Amino acid sequence: MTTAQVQDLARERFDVVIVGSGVAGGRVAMDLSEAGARCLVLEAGEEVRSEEMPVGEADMIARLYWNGGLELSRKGSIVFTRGRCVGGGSVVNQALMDRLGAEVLSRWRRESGVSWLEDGSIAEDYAQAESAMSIREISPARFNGNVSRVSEAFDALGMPWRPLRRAETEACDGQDCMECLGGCTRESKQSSRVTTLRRAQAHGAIVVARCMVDAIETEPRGVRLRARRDGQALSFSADRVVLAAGAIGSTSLLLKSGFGRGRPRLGEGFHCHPQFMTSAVVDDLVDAHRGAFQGATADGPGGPEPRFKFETSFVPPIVFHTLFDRVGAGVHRLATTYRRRLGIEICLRDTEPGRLRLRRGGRVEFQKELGAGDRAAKAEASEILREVYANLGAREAEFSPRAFSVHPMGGCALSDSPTRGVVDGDFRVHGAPDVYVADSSLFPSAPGRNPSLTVMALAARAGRALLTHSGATVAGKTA
Amino acid sequence: MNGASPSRFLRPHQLSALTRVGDVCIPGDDASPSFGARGCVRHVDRVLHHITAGDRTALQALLSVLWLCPAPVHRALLRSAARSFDRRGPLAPLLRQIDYGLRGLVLTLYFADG
Repeated sequence: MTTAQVQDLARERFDVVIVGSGVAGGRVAMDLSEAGARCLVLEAGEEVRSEEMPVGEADMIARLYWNGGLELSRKGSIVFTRGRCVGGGSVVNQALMDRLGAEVLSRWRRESGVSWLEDGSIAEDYAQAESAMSIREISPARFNGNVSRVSEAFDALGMPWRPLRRAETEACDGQDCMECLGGCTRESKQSSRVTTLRRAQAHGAIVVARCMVDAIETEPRGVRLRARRDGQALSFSADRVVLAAGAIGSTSLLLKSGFGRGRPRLGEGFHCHPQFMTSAVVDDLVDAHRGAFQGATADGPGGPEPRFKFETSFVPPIVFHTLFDRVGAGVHRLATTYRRRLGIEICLRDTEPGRLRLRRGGRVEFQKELGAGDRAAKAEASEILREVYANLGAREAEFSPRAFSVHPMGGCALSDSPTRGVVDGDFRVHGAPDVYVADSSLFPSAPGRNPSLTVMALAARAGRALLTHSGATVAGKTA
Repeated sequence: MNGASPSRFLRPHQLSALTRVGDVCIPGDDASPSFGARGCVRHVDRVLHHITAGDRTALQALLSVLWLCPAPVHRALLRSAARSFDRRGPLAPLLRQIDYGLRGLVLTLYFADG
């Protein structure tokens, strides 16, 4: 899109401007544009066409992630990675699709006071989210050597496990590209780029890439967004804005825009599912990098809301060395063991919330570190994995001390009360009825499950709420 | 370009420091070249282009200091940075940033050819 074309858009008035084009933004854009709304989607990252997705690990990380893939918590104990491109997190995530159980939804109901979280109606939202993409369970026939071995060890140790569900097509079958940590050149991974956003564009939604929104101003009727693109200041106006830039992007935009005044919970309640990679070596070939390398999951102890879970996983060399502190000769030795390595990831359900704050200059600060409970949970999980690796006859078991997060959540928590949260049960910021939020920043706490599908379900519900408020209909259904 | 440097972002002495730190992180062996021998710093702008100006400034300052230091200091710094994840104390946050920022950059550049 040329500068002149974008300047023309700045002279129009839209029904809705959507900030962010990922998991949530794509869904909202699709629902609203299919219902006839004039939608503009603003995305900070660049548009990368499928056939041009970077396939080398270094370029994937540098081009497709915020700040070159390197955003640290204030004390450096957790590294955050999040997508920055058209399609956002849906381009770089693992596309694992979990529905939340009744226990989590009940907890969220208690924390937020929002009644629909527990009345069963979210099942329809999940169904709508699932209907927009191809989702496949990773069947045992498709397990790679890592998933099959680890799941056998889970069985031998009496650990219940289940195959993961993934948003992908059959184009993944038989591949060993490991492109999933970046974009997918085959369009197998069901990112918003190839699903919801594509449908939205077919119904008239306009996507502007490389457009960074700096501020939202509410007006007597509608909203105005101040933005920058290629060094040029821009201003867009609309009846409503939907924030779908993820927990970090949406929360920091509201903070920058002064919405923290009178909303004491803005930026609070930040969670992130800290994760740790583990690995060990066996004598025969494993090829953990092949196919759907995240194929099976098992919960830690603790009933329906465990403090941690395990997922079979694997990482390419740069990430491997970074997480496992490889220097010197160890870097070269990896090449001799890479195909014989097992990999399992520990994912914590963090219960000690952090917060997001703005530093001078407008940069977001992650005030979120590992707590004592997180360290204890990681130690317990590591002991269990020592048994798993021992059961498999593995040696050189390694447990990375470096926590990373791919699930930022919270900061604009749902709540029926402005003193306990930021966004009401109709997805509107308390006191700002034309400002909607539709992404993982809404989560009242950490669910302990992969969040993408829940974000899509909430976004579908947010879209319906917005249409109801504007007196419109969606997909032939009275809103 | 930055003076006579082949990098837009790093001056020649900073590139030299990065190469020396890289050789501490990834020395060569019989089968594989070292960081310096592989000429990895030629990729540095591909990576630094995507990080914030503030982080680039911090990296430039760190490399300027490291340029003045001998290899044993580089080795000790990297070792302390790696251990900082299991430790607390006022220096731990800074050392963790150095671990990700410096060692992470070296690893990224070493494997930047794919």
